[in-house]
Order: sequence, then structure tokens, then C-alpha cells
Amino acid sequence: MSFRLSRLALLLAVSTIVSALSGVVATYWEAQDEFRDVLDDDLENQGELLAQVLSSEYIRVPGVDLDALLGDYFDAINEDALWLTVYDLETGKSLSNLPHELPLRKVDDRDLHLKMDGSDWYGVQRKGDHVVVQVLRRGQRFDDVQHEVLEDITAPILVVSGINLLLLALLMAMVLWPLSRLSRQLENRGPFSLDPLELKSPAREIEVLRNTLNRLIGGIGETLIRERHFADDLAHEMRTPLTTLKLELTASEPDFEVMKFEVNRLAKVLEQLLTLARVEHGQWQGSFTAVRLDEVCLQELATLQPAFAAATIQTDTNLPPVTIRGDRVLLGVLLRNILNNVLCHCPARTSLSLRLEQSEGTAVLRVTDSGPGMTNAQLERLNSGFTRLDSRSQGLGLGLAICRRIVEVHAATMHFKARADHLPGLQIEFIFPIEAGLT
Amino acid sequence: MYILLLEDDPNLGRALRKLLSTAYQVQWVRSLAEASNHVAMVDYDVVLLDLGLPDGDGVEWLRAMRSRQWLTPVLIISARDALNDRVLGLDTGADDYIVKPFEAEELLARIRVLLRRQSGSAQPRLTCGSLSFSAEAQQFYIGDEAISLPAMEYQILAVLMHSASKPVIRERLIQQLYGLGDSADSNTLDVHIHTLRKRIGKDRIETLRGFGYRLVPL
Repeated sequence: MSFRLSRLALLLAVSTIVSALSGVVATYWEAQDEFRDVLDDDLENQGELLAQVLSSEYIRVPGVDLDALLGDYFDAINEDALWLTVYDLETGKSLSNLPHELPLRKVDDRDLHLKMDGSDWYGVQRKGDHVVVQVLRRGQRFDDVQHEVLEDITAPILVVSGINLLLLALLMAMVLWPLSRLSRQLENRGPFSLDPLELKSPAREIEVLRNTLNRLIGGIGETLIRERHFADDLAHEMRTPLTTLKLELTASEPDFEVMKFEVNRLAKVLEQLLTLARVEHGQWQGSFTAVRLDEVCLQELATLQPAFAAATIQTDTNLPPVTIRGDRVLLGVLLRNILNNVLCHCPARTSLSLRLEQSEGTAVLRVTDSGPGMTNAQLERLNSGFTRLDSRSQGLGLGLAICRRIVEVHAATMHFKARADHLPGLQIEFIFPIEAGLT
Repeated sequence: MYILLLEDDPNLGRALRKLLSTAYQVQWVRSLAEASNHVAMVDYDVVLLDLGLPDGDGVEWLRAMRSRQWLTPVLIISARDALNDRVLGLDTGADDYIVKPFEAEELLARIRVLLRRQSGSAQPRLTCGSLSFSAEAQQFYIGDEAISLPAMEYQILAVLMHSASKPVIRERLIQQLYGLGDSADSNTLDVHIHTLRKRIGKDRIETLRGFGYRLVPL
């Protein structure tokens, strides 16, 4: 099931308003009935009580101070909302707190509805031994009390509901609308658009979401750039020897040595591509074991030692035992590619050193040569993902892509630097993580 | 005609130089820095430009050169075949773009087009009076009759022909004959001009004292 959060929020707002209003109305009607009952009971009780009192303490009317007599029983005797009348059945006289000349209509009436001073009066009539007592309340007074009660009950409900609506609106402004904008931006985005998302919201969660998405987009962008560099390099590595072959094949005097060289070059590129494909598709992390990095270095160096000797490149090592988690075969490919690169780029009578050290949970391997080195711009290009600098790579451009991938699957880093001692040459620094417990 | 070849791959550079040298004087360089030095000294007829070079990107170099009103025709030779790359190369100021691997004949044909356009002609055969030149056949004609020329005289006449009756300075012709770096003898040029005049007619090449030569339409 799919729905829009904004519609859910709207539904919630409507529900809040409806529940608040229905609560107010229900409370109003319930309070009205209850309050009317309470007032009616009160009047009835007062009428009964007064009739009994006046019967037990029979007092002739007039000749009595009604205020003084009733003051003890009726707190609100002086209120103009309460109308009290006592009829003496023996003398036919009457006494009331409000001036009126209304005669007693029926002795046996119990509920009364009278009109006086332009107001409706509601109340009860009770008969004692010698007297009849009428107690009435002004209808307007009932409405006033009812409104006061309504205000007291409904005001908090309306205030709380208003605050809820405000909070809901705030929630929409801070979360739902930014999410909608984000959704629209993503919907309208072309498949190759990698611009950062523009999304402003004070909500921390939205900020985290935006930053995470932008990091992801940035990562995709970097990967695409790297892939493009790789595609360019691959195109160069394959098309350049093919062009040479085509030109030589159509030349009047083909150079067979060059053709043989270019065919071998293409074969090497193909071999590197296959290696890269195996690295890309292998589930390497699952097969990682403890590997002695120093032994890998020594073994690969020993394999290439004759080539270094032939090239008169002097090798020097300082490789204390260091164990990392990794794949022995992949690490061998990594070292071989790097050492081949040194062989390819370093002239005769230069040197190569391999240094390994362990510190703070990392193993640092530094491969340093005393070859021609690189300019800062070249170092920057290599560190930013380019895999080929010049035609001398002879397929090693792909080798560098393979190295990068192997380094990535080992959660390691590879960095190209100028030599720390400022002498000509290049230093490649690998930093591998060391898991706790590995010895 | 004088071509600057900018290609960093040694074998491809050699193969291209071998191919082009059959018809043109070729200067091969392997970096942008070298190329900048050469174009500052020589007025090449065409530059063949590879894009991925050790000291930078060929497109950026071309952009910088074009911003300085450098007008020499440029043919990009690149392994990058994406539409964006081709459009970027042409929009930056290249006159043509050819993707590796290409056929030798196609490359030569495209160079001929650039040279022909540069001389202001849309015809495959350049003419100056009754003298004409087919770049494709690498052959000069007077009227309908083909004339055979030694290599040096051929080079000199090709330059004069592509200049379309405009004066050509002596240094340009000397560069055409010897390229850069070689010690060229100025008298040798006079000898070749003399020989050429004997073959195509004395009055067809006018000497501009202290400047150079000009082909006269007869």
C-alpha cells in the first residue's frame, strides 16, 4: 500500500479539529443536561426544606422579616436570580423577596413556569401545613451559568487542539514538505545528474538525510569519474597498439618487431582485464585469512629479483613480521603490479626499497624508488583516480586499476607521494587495517 | 607541407611518422611542452594532436592555444570515442577528430582536406594557372600533363601551391626541406628553386627580394 504522508498529515489535522469540536459539542450537551438536573434538584430541595421549616415554625405572614428568617437557609436570598414567595394559606397573605402581586394559582402545582420583569422563571412549588412555598430561578441565570461552564470546559480543549494543530503544521513544514521537495527533486532528476540536493530544513533528521544522500551522490560521481578515467585508459591501452598494428600492416615496409611488441602489449592488457574482472566479481572478504604481509613482499620481490638485477635496480628491504587479514593471491598481484611499475619506469642504477611498519592498528607498507619521480600535478592526477600517466605504462594503467580494487577490498588505502627526503623518486604508501587479535 | 605530430606512444608515433613522411615533412613530439616550443617557432600546416599526453590534456592545450589566436588546423587523434569527447574536441577548436584505430588512407584523406581548406580551395585539385596539384595522387600537372619532380622540389612546390599565389617566406621553405634542428643551407634552397623553375617554367616562381617566393598563375 502506498500513500502520501502529506495526505496522512492532512487527515490527522482534520481528525484533530473534528475530535475537538465534537468533544466540545458533546461536553456542552452533556453538561447542559447535568447542570439543569442539578439546579432543578437544588430548587426542589430548597422548596421542600423551606416548606417543612415554615410548617414546623409557623409564622404568620406578614409580620416577619423574611430576609432574617430565610437568611439562615438561603445563601442567595438576595440574588435577583432567585425568586422566593411564601403564601400563608390561613391568612391568604404572601411574602416574597421580589415585589410582585401575583396570586397563588393552584395550591397543588409542583413545577412552575412564570413570567415577571420580562424574564422567564422556572422553579417548584411545595405545600407545607399552613403555607405554600414557591422557589424559582430566572431562566437567564441558567443560560449564564451554562455559558460559563461551557467556556470553562471547552476553552482548554480548544487551546490544546490549537497547539496540536500548530505542532502538526510545524511537523509538516519541517519534515513533510522538505521530504516532498526532496521527492520532487529526485523524480525530476535526470539519470546522469549528480548535482547535490538542495534541501533546507531545521529538522536534524532531514539534514542528516540530505547529507547522507549528497554523500552518496558524491560517491557515485567519484565512482563514475573513476570509471570514465578507467574507460579512457582502457581505450588508450587497446586502441593505440591496434592503430600501430593497422598502420604497420598497410605500410610498404612493415616493422615486424613493432608489430610483435604491440600484439604482446594487447595480450598483456587482456590478461590484466581478466585479472580485474576476477577481482571485481570475487567474494574475497569471505575467504580472507591471516596473511603475513612481509612474506608476500619478500616472495614477490624474490620472483622479480632477476629482472631488477638485469635492470641494475638495487633493492633494499626492511620487513618485520606483520600479519593482516586478506587474500594471499590478491596481495601478491598487488605487489607484483607495483614492482613491475618500478621496473618499467625506473632507469638503470636506481634503487627500490620496501619498508613495513606496524602502528596503531595499521600496517604501513612504503614502496620507494629513486626513479624520475612525478610532478605534483601527476601525483594529484594519480591520487584522484587516474590510472595512466603516459605511454610507458604498457598496460600497467590497468594494473593500477587492479591495485586500486585490491586495496579497496582490503579496506586499505594507497597514496602516491614524493619522497620524504626530497630526493628524486616516488613513494607509494599502503595502509592496511590490522584486526585485533592477529599476531 | 609541414606537419606537427603530437603523440606520446613511441611505436604509434614512429608508425605515423613513417606513414606521413611519404608525403609531408613531419616533426614528431611527445609532450605538450615540446609542442608549445615548436609551434612558437614554426608555422605548421597541420597539427595532429593526441589527447592523453604525459604532461596534460590535449584539449586544454588546444583551448589555450586557440585563445591566443593560433590558427593552424588541428586534427585530433584520440582513443576517446565518446560523443562528448568528440564534440568537446571540435568545439574547443579542433578542425577534425579521428578515433583510433583508424585506417591510414582515412587519416591521409582528412589531412588533405585540411590542407586544401587552408589554401582556400574546395576542389580536390589545387590550381595556379595551368599548373595543378592532386594531393591524393601526390602529382603535379601542367595542363593535363603530369610532371615528375624530385622530393625536395616537390615539397617546395607543394608549399607554394597551398599558399595560393600568396608569398612564402624563405624560412618556411627551408623548414619544409630540413625541419627544425638541422643546419639548413640557404643556398641549397636557391638551387632547388632554380631546378624547379627549369622544370615548370622560369616565370611561374617569382622571387621577392629579401622575403621569399610566390607562385605566379600562368
